Amino acid sequence: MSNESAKIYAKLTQNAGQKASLTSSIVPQLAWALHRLYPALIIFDGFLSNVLWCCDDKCLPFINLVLWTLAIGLIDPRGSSFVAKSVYVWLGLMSAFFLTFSWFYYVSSVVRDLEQAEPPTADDIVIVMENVVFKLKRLADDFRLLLDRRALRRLTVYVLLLTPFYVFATHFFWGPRDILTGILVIGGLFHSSWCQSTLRLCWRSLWVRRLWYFLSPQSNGVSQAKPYIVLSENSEIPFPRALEGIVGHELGIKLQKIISDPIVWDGDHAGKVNVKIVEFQIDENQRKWPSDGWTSGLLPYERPKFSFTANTPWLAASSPWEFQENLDRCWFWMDDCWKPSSWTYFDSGWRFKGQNDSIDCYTRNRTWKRKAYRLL
Amino acid sequence: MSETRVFGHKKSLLGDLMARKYEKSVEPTLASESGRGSGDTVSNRELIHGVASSLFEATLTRFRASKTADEISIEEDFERYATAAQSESSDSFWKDENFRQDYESSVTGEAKDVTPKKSAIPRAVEETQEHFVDILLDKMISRILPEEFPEREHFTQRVNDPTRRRRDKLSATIFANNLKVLTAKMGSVFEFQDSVIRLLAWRNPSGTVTMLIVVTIVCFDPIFLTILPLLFVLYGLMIQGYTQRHSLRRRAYLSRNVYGKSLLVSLASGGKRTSWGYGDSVHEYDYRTGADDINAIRANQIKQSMEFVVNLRDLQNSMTMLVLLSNSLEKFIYGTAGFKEEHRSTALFLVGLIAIIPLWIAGRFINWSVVSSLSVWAVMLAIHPKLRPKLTKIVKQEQIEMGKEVLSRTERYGIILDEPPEERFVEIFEIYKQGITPHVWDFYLYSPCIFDPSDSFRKAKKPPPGTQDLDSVFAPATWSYERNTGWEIDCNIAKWALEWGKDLKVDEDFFLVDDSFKRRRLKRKVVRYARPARKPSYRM
Repeated sequence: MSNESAKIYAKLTQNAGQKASLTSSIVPQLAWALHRLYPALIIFDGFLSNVLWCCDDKCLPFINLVLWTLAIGLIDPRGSSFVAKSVYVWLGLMSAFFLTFSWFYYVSSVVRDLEQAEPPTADDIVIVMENVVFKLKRLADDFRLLLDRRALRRLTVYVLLLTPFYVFATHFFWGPRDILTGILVIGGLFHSSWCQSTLRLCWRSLWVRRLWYFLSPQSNGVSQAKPYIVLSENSEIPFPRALEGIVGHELGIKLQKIISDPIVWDGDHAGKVNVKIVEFQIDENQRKWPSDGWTSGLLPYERPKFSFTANTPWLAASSPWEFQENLDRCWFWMDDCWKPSSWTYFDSGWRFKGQNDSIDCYTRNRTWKRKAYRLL
Repeated sequence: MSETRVFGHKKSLLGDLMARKYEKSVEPTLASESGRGSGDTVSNRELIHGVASSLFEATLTRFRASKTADEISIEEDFERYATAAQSESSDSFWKDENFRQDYESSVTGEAKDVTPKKSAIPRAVEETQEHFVDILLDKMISRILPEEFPEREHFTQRVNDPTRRRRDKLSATIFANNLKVLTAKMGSVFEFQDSVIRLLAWRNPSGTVTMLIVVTIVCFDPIFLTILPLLFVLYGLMIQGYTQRHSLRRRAYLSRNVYGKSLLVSLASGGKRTSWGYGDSVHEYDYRTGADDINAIRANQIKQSMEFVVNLRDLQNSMTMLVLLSNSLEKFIYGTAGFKEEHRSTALFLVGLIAIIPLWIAGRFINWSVVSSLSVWAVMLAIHPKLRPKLTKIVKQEQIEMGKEVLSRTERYGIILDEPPEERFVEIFEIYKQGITPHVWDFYLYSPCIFDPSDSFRKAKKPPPGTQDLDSVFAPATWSYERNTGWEIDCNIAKWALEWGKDLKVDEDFFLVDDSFKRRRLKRKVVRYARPARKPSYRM
């Protein structure tokens, strides 16, 4: 019990703390401009709340969406008979009128409420502005989570390339009314927490990710693959008289000790040999699984168990021991064995996090290194 | 007798409790007792014992009172309740206007018989006794409930509902009486429940096949959903009522033995049909049961008591079922649907989503009448007691195990939980105390309190909660430290001082200084993968 009482828990910092009042610190012209801007800000904030479905009454955005759909139906009224068409036209007209009037009513009610209420302080206005900025950021984030800049560019290309298909589809299957309705419904629902949660849950599925990466393959820069980094392009290595007369592969082997443990030869050397010294680096990659912990089971679209890190983003490799078996015979090892570095931790997208395992780390790698040289 | 015990030697205990806890609210009831018992001081333990035994005795009194009432008969007891409650379902409702002379004479006869029994317990005393115990119980119930519920605001709408305010308050008497009446009447409900079970278990094969045919008809023509209840009311209830009164006498004698068997019944019977109370014999209530036929009354009473007990048992079992059902429902809502196990819930969500899309698209091309009626027939045939073992033999256990294994593998490796966790910052104050000279500061402790002159600990001249070692500062519940970042000094001292509303001197080492202490804020990043799953309010 005493142990329990000795535990001290740090408190979470509160972002919504007290702030310096702006009322006295801003110039009157700016305050006046902000005051004029206030109704527009409130209306824009209300619009954003509707788009994000974060308003108090969640039925209203739905009703608005239905009314918009009915109003769009005026482009090409549904129904085959005259009566059905008339009903749809009437519904569309009513919806359009209702939407227009409700818009004016909302704007006028905002203005009237503001007139009746106390004039807002500069802080009130700034709070609404911050709210608007926050909501706009959320809108952008919803897209950013789905698409990075490259993917967005690719998507744009796809969308443009598929233009003949749209023409074909609009001609034979869906008319402009259906396409507009579809865009409206998708656009209206996209930022709702339901749609965003669904997308996030779908992204948890390996099959969805595979499909996504199949449709948008990533380039790995394979063409410039080199499994090593060069430590020395051209080194002059003196060798003792004892090795005189030995050439080729045998000399390479005999030089291993001299290069690894360089001794300064005081002039009593038979000659010099030029070598290129490199360090082979193979990354061992792992992923954290909730039930198994860290394993070499990686996702099909990401880097495999072993990869060369000398290149960006990565190139698949075999294990260091397999690699050395298949290495060209012109290379001679300087180190006795492969040496691993400590683990480095990354997030799920292989973005660096640190040297320690933490909740936000989902992947890690360590580099197996071994120096080698070849005679020039 | 019992109430004397309750308010005899225990009265000081109760009085003390009431005086301590309930104060004014029960003053009128127990004013005299508390007055008399005020001189004695009673320990808390005695008090609890006293209250517990008083409650027990009060319950016992109620039980005895109801037992005495049971001796009379259930009907009389019900009649008494019905009169007291002044409800619409008064006894006159059951009196047939065509047979006025019969029931009037029988009631007076019964009344004459019963009067001597009732005289054993004077009605006035009984009423007072019940009334007093009820008041006590009601008061206990209403006072035991805490004044401030944690989620009172959830209930306020319901409590303040004008239609609800007119209704009765929570009362042990009404509750017990309702339970008693309901138990007596629940027989038909349980009989219905049994008949449904018989249908599903193929113990009434002709009934099951009829049900399947009816379901098929409804599947092909849903208008029957409205017609069938009406048909039931007309022919299941009204025609029954009519034949009860105007018997059509379709046969002369009831046959003793039934020879021959139906092929359908022999083929499809899933078990013995164990039902009672069947048959088309018309019961005629004998209104002329006189006082001399005591045995018949006695037999009837035994049958009623038995039925009552059986009903009570069934009610209890239904409640147990309800509890089990609510438990599993709760497990689903708060567990699987509450993302308690994220893998499973995600898999379930995705399966549901995948099911929705083809249903939406292909749904209009499917003949739902055929599909639904065939599936009902298939399910009913599959659960037939004779067919089920044969079907389970076809599906091998190993295959099921393999399927489960594949499912769990898919769930484990097909669902990837790698969302970036929620990130926040925590703060702790590194507090120094002024030493001998103004420039000497000694480390005091790390504390979540800012410990400025307005701090309550400071005012009380007590050290704030804190520790000497930063390693013993833990992240708040459900959070954990991000291990790749450590504690950092918050250099933006003006900002955090303003956030905390502190207007103190600032020194160059990011300290906020007052006359005898200085402190600086340390920040560290904390992360959590998810918030705790939702829980029912009573488990909070």
